Amino acid sequence: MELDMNKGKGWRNLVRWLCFMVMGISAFANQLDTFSPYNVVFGAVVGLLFGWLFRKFLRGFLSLFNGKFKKEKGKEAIRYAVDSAMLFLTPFAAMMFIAVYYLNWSETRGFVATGIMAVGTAAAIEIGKAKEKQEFRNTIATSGVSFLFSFLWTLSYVYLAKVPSLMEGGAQLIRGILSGGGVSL
Amino acid sequence: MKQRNLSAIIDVKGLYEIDKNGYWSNEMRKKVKLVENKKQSLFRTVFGMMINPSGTLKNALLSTKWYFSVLISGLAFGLFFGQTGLDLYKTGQKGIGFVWLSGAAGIVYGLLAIPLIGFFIWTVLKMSRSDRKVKETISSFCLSYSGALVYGVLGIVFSLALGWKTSVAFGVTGVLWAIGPMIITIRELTGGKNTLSVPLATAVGAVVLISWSVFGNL
Repeated sequence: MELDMNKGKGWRNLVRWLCFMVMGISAFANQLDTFSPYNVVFGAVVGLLFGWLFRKFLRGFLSLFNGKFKKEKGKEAIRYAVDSAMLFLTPFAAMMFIAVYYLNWSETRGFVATGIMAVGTAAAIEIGKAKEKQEFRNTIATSGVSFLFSFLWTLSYVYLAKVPSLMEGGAQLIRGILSGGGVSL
Repeated sequence: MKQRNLSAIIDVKGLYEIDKNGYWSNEMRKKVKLVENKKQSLFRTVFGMMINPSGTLKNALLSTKWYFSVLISGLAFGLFFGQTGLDLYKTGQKGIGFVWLSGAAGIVYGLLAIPLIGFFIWTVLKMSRSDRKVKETISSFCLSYSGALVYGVLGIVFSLALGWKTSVAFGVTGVLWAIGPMIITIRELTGGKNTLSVPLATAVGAVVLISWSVFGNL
């Protein structure tokens, strides 16, 4: 029986967006003010951008390594495999949210790194399922992309974590000027 | 062509076909490979479940006894909770007795709570008309903590040898690493349903994280 790749497409997209947003919001949460709008908005945007880029790279690499399969089945088959694999992020996003908002943890990079690595493994399995044979080169490709992105997150997090407080400072400055209060020295 | 010894041929109970030079036919080699795969070691199962769970699971269920699977989760959580006790001891919050107590509590957690969660998963699978046996489900579920066992062993080595605080860096990472194999395991048990495996793995992950944290705050 032919698999309907469009079935549940909306749900898969929604779950993926939510997962990356939750991961971004949790990662950049301010411990003193966990629902600070600056941190929440910045986290959601960074999470979505990161997820979009990660998905593009995974799809790109899998297309590159499976040219013949893509020609036969179309790019929808690659997209379906990657999007199904992205569902694996759900437990990691949920656990990260619990860790930050219930257990008050501040160190969350492990959740993102393991979640992304799990997606990589799952993408290789999904494409193997579609081709009806598991190939080592797909595991290498997806693990390589996942490792690169988990490294990118770990590395950039240190610098990006400073941005929400700068945004807040900038907004307060503009508000002060606009209200006629000037800049307090 | 590689020549094989006679004892291996006896293992496959008379299914052999040898050509005039004493070599196996291609078909014969495939059959022996199948038998050899079924008899994979516990060591290979643990690493296989960590790296390639879908490929390992079927053979693991044939070759690993259920009590070995439960032992894997018991040891994994024993080491994880033990490291939590060690971290609290190093920061002066708890005494040495707590280290032993936490290790023992972890073993009990892995031997009882994890199989119990496995039983809960089996009941959910049963409701979704799966024909999997309870022993098979619990065994598979416990095996998905193989990655946590590997991280646990590494963590305890770093904790004891280098004095690092490892309960989060190694312990929690190990439990997180187990999530991927867990989703794949549940999906294999449900015949490939993501709609069941992802929510179940999310619930189990949350329960394990919260229960461990409650223990750490005792």
